[in-house]
Amino acid sequence: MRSRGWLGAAAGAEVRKLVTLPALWWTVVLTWVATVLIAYAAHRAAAGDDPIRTALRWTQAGFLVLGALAVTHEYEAGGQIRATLLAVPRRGRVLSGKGVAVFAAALIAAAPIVVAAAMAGGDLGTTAGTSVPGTSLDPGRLASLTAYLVGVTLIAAATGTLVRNSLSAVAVLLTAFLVVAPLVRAGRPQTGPWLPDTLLLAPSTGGVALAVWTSAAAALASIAFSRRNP
Amino acid sequence: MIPVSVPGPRPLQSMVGAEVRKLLGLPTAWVGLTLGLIAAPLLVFVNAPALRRAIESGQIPDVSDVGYENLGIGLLGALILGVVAVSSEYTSAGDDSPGAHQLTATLLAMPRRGQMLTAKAAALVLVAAVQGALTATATVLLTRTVLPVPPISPSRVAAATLYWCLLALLAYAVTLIFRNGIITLTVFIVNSSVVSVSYLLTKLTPWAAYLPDIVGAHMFLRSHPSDVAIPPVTAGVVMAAWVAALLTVAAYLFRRRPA
Repeated sequence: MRSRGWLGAAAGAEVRKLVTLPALWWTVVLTWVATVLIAYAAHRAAAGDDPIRTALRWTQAGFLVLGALAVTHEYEAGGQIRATLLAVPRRGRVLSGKGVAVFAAALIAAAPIVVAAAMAGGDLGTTAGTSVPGTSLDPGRLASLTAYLVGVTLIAAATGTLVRNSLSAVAVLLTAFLVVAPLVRAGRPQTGPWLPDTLLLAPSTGGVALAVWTSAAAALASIAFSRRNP
Repeated sequence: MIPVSVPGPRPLQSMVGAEVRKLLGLPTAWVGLTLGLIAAPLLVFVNAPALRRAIESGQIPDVSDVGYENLGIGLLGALILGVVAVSSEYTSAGDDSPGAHQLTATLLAMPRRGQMLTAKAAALVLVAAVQGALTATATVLLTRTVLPVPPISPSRVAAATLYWCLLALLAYAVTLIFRNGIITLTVFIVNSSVVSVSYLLTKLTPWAAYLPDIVGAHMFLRSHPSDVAIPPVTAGVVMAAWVAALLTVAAYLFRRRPA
């Protein structure tokens, strides 16, 4: 028997589960297509702005769906989660393995988008409200974009763990990120640094907020997952 | 021998009643109803300070729109109703029989698929209309108490209610076509965010202003970011045509596919 450590085998199994889910591939491919299309429209609308970041204000939905589905598929009819826990009874280990797998999936889904953002360039002008100078290949900006996409996918996975239903999880996440957060920002601009999606709009602020939201969601999810009946 | 009365064809009225009871028996539908009813009036208070500044500095082109612009978030309620009316039928009956779902029982009770779809749509419209009318009236009245806006216009509230029903039907049709609520929710919530994708698409082609969700808003809003002016009645007809077309596709597929 091969030994791959406390996490290795569980993470490997979770990665294989995710890779074999057609719904996730569809989500990723549709996200890429939609991002390119909307970025093109955004470029036509305002040529100076970073078109990929503008497009991601909407197509981040794909990453939210990706994270939610990666967890909630276990809770579909048939109760796959019970088979999972039979195979790996340590709940912390299952959840950590899932976290690693979702992290990897988010990186793969984000990679072409970050490359496209590097090629497209543009400044952050109107999206952030203030103009932020910087070249398109600025590594800090690309790193913040990658961190944002991975972060929201992890938040989505944590929400999926809490809600345990794909439709409800997607509804909650999309409403929060695409409706509530922009409305709160428009109504109360001073809340900006505390909203989870600020990093997308203004890379210089919002990193802390995303880290706090991600850790809080992960902590809640792990408490719920280790205490509830599967 | 005891005479057995054979039931005749079920009247549409009782089928609609059954579908209303089924819809209102869903906890998720109540989430949609409550969310739709509370969110828009709540938003009036959240947005009030920013809107008051905008009105005072004259940045708002048409002040009579202010009360109606906050309705967008309440439309999520109509959306959720349209989605769960279908997705609840496809939810698995239980862990022991993952392949079985409620639709089988529904079609046993109402074997005519066209009639069943009609009854479901009618039930959905009834519930969405009540929610839409209540939310629109409450939101506009509340806006008037906190901001200097013109009094409520019954025709605009009626138009908003119509938009509410058509959006619920749109979500219903799209969910029937894909048999998956996640696609419907993603498309419509993404598009109902502060600036809709459809608005960006109008930069590519002005025809994008005739996409079902933006064109419908012309029924009750007078100023639009896209600067394409569409008369309210034209807007209503175009949106109704979209809904009719998608419902036709959905009904065709529903009759041909195994339940």
